[in-house]
Amino acid sequence: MMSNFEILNNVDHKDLRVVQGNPTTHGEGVHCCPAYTFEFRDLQNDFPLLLQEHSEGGFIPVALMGFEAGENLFIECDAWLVPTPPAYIRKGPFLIGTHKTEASELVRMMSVDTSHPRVSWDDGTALFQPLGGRTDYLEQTANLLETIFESAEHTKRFTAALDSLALIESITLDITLNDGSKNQLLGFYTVNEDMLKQLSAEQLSALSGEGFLMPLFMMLASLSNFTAMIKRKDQRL
Amino acid sequence: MIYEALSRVECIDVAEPGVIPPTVFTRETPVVLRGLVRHWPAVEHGADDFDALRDYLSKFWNTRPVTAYVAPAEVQGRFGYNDAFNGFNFQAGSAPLAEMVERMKEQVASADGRSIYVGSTPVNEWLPGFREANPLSVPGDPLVNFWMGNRTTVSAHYDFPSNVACVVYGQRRFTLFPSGQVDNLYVGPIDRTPSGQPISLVDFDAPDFERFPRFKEALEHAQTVVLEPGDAIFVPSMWWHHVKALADCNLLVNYWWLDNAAFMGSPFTALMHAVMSIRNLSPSQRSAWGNLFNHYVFNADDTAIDHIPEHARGCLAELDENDVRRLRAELINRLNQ
Repeated sequence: MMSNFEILNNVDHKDLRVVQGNPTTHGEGVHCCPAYTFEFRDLQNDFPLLLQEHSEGGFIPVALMGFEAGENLFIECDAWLVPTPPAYIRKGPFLIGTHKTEASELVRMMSVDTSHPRVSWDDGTALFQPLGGRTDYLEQTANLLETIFESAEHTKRFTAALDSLALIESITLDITLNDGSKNQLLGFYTVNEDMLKQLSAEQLSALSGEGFLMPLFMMLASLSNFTAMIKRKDQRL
Repeated sequence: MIYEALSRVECIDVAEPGVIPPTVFTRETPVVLRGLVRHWPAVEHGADDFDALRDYLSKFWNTRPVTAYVAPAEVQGRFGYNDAFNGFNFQAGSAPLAEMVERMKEQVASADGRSIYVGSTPVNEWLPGFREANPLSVPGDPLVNFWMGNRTTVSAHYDFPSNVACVVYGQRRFTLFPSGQVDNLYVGPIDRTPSGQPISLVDFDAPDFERFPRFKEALEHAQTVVLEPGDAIFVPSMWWHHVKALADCNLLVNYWWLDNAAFMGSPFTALMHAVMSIRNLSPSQRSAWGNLFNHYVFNADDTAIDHIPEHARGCLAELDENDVRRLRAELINRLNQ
């Protein structure tokens, strides 16, 4: 379904609610989603963190959750197996963006995708108090969006830095499952370890100064999650 | 005692029990409605003795814990601040209503001077069915509360909603002042209060006129009355009222309703905001803001807006529920800095 973003307000969205639970039936059964550097430490515990080419050029980090479109190996019986799914999933139907006011000031505003499967007008968690104040749920979501908004900028600079140091290489993963079937994972990129080893002390120091070194190593460490993912896929056969 | 010298609250006849004369709702001054609820079964049961009333109430009450204030004898039932003014002179406890009634009876029997008070408790939640069995027609969707205790005093305070208070059992003395007497009532803190509303620090039974000299002026404007079982009083919105229970056991049921739409902002929140933003300005700035407040708020009439095209009046136009929601969101955003 097409997205339909509207700037969130307590009049048009007075009765808008967000349905909780049941990730698959609410569009979360995806095989990958964007990931932000602030959450790499948490995500690398479960998900391979890879890069994809961005439609507007450059690369974006993604958390891998399955090997083919529509497959999510971290959802079972329509419930997440991990305590903290990626922030991109947790933010639900919301988005934060910069808007120009009538006075040409740039302000950050929260939008809601009213076509999102979690959006309901009769059941779920309310966004607004009876008289129009914000609920705790809305406050928490707004905080998460702020965190994402700030981290998105850092994440953009992070991938640009990797790209400029020629640290990005494509990865092709050939997976043979227990039943003999073969799968190939295409279109993903990862960190080129050989190039990483050749970086000078100055280059490493510059990466560290920008806060890029830790997410870089978290990405490398996250690749060990492939084994567990393949095992899960085998168990589902 | 100060009460003998005070004016009496006007009384009007109630033609039909349970029906508040319509003129009451447009009044700006208090009025006593003798016998308004004398037909209530609760009042009739109480005419025998308190045990009969207790038995009647036990048909309705549930086991939900209710909050009660208890105070030692030296407080003399006047709940408020402690002597050091760093806390209160009572303690709050909670137990089912049946137990609170027993405790009240024990304290009365022992005559040890301790006081117990269950204040402002929603009737529908603790005495479900009572309201239907003891009806009174009040406009809109009023909040109906009961107030029970021994010889206790609620210091003078105001409430924003309009109020009809009905004595079911015991006697209660109401002493009332128009809102303008705030200058002469020596009101305590507005942000730390014993039970929600700021209270006068004057002990009406032994006023300290050296400490509170202007209270004499307040008394010039006071009205007082003692209500008997079945009697009711209309307390207009914002009138200061001091309420003293005079019998060993007392029960009152009151109805609060707002004359304005419930979606409007809270005037008290506006006052707190003004305290934060305006009170500490220089005298000249304060007086300039006073001019603006008078222009836009206190003396608001069309002269403030009739030169602005109707579609462009923004929040100065007549506000509907959605306008107020937008304004609330705007204020929440502005305050969150």
